[in-house]
Amino acid sequence: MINLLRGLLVVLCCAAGMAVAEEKNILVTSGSDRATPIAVVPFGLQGGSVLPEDMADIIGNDLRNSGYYSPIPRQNMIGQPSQASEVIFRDWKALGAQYVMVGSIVPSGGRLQVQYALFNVATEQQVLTGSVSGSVDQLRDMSHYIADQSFEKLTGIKGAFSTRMLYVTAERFSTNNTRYTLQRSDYDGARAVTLLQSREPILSPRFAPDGKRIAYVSFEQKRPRIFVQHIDTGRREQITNFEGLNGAPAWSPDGSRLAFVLSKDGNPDIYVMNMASRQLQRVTAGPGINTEPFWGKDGSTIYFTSDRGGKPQIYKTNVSGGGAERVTFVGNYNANPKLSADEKTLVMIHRQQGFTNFKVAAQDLQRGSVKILTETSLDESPTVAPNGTMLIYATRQQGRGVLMLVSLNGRVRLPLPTAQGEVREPSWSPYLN
Amino acid sequence: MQQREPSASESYFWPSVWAIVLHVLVFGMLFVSFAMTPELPPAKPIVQATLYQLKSKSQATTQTNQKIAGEAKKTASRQTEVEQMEQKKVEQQKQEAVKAAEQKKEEAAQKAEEARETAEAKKSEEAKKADEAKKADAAKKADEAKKVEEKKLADIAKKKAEDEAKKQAEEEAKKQASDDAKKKAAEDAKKKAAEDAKKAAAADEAKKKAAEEAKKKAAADAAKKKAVEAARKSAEDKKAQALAELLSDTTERQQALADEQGDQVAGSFDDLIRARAAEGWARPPSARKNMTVVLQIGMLPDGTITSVSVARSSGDGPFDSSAVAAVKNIGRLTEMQGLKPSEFNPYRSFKMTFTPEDLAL
Repeated sequence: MINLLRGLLVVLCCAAGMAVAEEKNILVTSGSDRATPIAVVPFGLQGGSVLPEDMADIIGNDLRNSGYYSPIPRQNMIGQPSQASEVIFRDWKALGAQYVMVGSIVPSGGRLQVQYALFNVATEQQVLTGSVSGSVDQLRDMSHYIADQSFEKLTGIKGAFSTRMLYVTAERFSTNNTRYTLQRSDYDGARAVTLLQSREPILSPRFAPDGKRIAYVSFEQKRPRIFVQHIDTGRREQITNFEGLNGAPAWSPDGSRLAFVLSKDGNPDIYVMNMASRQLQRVTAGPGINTEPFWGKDGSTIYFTSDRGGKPQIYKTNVSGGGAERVTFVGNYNANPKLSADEKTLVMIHRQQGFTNFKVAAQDLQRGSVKILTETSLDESPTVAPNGTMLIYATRQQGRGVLMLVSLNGRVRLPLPTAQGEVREPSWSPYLN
Repeated sequence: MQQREPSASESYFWPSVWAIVLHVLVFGMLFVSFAMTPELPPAKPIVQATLYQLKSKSQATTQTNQKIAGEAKKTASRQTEVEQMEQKKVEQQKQEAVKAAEQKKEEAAQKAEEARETAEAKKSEEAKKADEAKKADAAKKADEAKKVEEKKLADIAKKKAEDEAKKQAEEEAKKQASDDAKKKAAEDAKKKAAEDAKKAAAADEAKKKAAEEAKKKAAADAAKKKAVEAARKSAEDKKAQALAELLSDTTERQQALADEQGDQVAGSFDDLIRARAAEGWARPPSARKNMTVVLQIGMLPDGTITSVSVARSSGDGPFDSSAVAAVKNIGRLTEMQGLKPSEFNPYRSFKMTFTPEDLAL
């Protein structure tokens, strides 16, 4: 009897314990190493002639380039629905798709009306639906737009697929005959337009924060000089004509000032010019080379490369003067600093201790930890997408200068299709919409 | 004397015939049940269970082999239950029932002998009653299984299925592994030992159950009892010995199992949810080691996740969104349907903490 009572007491205690027990909390410390499978079904075309661009293909590639998603190959698709009502979730589940996008294109009066919808296969719920219209020439714009909308809806990060980039090509015909062009294309290398052509080198093109002006260095006067050009009108203006080196222009976040490098006072140093008053202010001084300025988004911090410590490393300083603070400590060579928009990640050209290869690496600015992003060597000129998910850089493959796109999570590494000849000096635009 | 001779030969004739027939019958039973085992549901659900269980093993620092064995059995029983309800054909059910009955006979025989040896009459009766209860369970289960499509998943069926499935899962796994009749005999003994131990552990429950079920099935069991008596006579000492050897060991294991089961069940479902969330968690570039977001999650007993919200933000929007998406992308965790209502309660509303430790930056 006593035993029975004891047993009862134990049971009661257990029950009470459970009742007041803390709420269950499941800890997750690891994530997925692979991109999320997404099916972008070829968009249905209702009447009209065959279109010059494949919207679903462009959208799928955009999402893949982010490093977040891996589009499911078309030949694996069981069906190709173009309406929300035609989506059979069981089929997509079987394919392992996490999301499925369908769309239809209806031509009307010379324009195209595009309806699209995105579904979560696991929950069988619609994530996003919308419509966009445009001309046949705008098929790529509409595709990038849909990719932007989808990416933002799925990740909470603004899409950067409607952005552009600048790059320089060099076609060498003979010893004294090389044609240099400044190109502007979609971020993925498509639809390149020549903005400037010269028989002398063009370097360091940079978009102004408004996306309407660009600055670059041209050797058209046999010496490097900085120019600013309006993209729409083609109107250009020479900004600098100082003795020696004039290079590496960088726009301040508000577009009112331009930082660049001059060697008029001896060593190359960083100067800032007020674009309205043309007033010049020196930022760095002292021994060694100081170059490749990059503005912090506060408009007062400048990151730059300096060899003041013997080897090139990245430092930061205030525009109004004061001492410089070293930022990079890992590796024996760090140059060409670029920051992600959230200023958490520094992207740079990096050489590891004991290695001869130059690679693009990312450094966490708070902790200082470094991660190498590329598998190529002799990497140059990294430029980060405005949303910080992708970067483009120049490197050499089979003796030719090419552009590569990598996702910052390292999952996607692919060469960008570009014109003939050497391609280099890529520069990503800000958000243009 | 001459007149007596025929009667004498007669008196030897019929008993020997009976003895031969009985031996053949007993041997035949052995053979029949043996041939049937491969048709039982394959080990797929067991493998699945092992996967989660391994993860839980890696996390539980104090886990022992006994617990692992107990966990496997428990999970297997759950899976088998589902399998039985959904997949088994009516014929298979019938065969199982028959086979179960046969096994029960043998068990009963052993039981009886043991009881005689130990001279504990009362205990023997209880054990018999308990056996009959099991038989009744089996028969009833067979009936119910025929009505599988009705989805009559009442509590009685569930409890029964769990008990039965646990035993069967163990038996099946063991039987499939064994090659010859000798091994099988050992396995039977082992199984019986397991049952005995369980009964001992849950003596009160068995008594109650036996009392109820025995009354119902008393008449129907008359024929079976005869067979039990006969089988008891032909029971082998070897089996009894094997039983005795295994009894102590298995008792320990069963007790450990009983102690740990509760925790293990919860642990394995935590692991399942953790694994599914991690699978679909794509971190944004802004994610950093040890950044932390806490989510509040609501779930229905069918495994549908009804709500996901941020309880404590990491301060980084895209990071928070990535965790929310990871949970939403789980969809429905149908495995949760295998939980009893009391076991599911903690999952109605729970928290998940996402804090990456596997990032380079």
